[in-house]
Amino acid sequence: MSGRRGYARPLDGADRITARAEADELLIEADKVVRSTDPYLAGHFPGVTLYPAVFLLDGIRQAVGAELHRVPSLAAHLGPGGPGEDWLELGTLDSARVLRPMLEGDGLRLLIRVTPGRPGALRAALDCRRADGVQVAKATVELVRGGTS
Amino acid sequence: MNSGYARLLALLPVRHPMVLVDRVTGFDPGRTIGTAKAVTGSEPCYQDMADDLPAERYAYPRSMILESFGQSAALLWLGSPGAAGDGLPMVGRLRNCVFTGSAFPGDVIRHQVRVEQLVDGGAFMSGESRVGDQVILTVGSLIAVARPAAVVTGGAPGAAAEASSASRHR
Repeated sequence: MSGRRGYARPLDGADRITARAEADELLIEADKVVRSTDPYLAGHFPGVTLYPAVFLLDGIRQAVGAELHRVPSLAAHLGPGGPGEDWLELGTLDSARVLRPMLEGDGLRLLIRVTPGRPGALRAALDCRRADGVQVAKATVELVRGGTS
Repeated sequence: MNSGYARLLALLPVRHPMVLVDRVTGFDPGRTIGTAKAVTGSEPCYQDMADDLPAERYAYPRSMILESFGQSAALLWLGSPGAAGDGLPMVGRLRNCVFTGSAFPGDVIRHQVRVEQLVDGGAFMSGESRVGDQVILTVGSLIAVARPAAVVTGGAPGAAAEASSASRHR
């Protein structure tokens, strides 16, 4: 049976994404509910589900890749990519900080602001909050097109 | 440190399929650790891939490379004198990490992690990850912290004891 994914990922980093362009920036709200049935989470940890912070980083690249078409100037800044090209990779992780545990059933909102980075890269700043508004993690990364490094 | 897989499982609080270290290849308590992680196409991250993709699309997710490095750092810390106590080892902060390559099914990722500083309830570490001779990840700073299991698990009944059991087995 044919699959649907165009690149490897640990899990779907967002259940729902909304995005808008603002000048030459891309603003994304990606919602993700932590579920013990998601791939890998049965082992993280046994007896209690804790969402790994690295999966937030994967969620950033997935969401930005999916919504990048909304801001052609950002896509152009990344360099050549085919139509519908949504495969991005982490290039650098400037900083990531985990402030609170993310548990089974938590509704996470990934607020991502995407701006131009160094040539060939986009800068994405993450502010991740639970449904109650409490900030659980924050990060700043640079994204590059998949297959370029 | 015994490089056996059972010993590794006794130290790490994670379980299949989230165990992303396969072997300890070198260990100097309180100073450095070498580990190996074999990438295989049977891992969940490769499920549901479209047919006829070019080989480069099977790049192992870099988030997983970072998690594998973090688990290696946890092994180094947990095997060092005066480590996390009864707390759960967690990554508190990462800084200045740079990816310079990829890994693919069939590759073995070799992590080298160094302790920069041990403090009460925490550890500052750095290191690199390689495939063959190529450095694919440089970690400038990983700060590990020990958090009480009950705090991490939100007080879920029975969960705190289970989640912290691994740290008591070392």
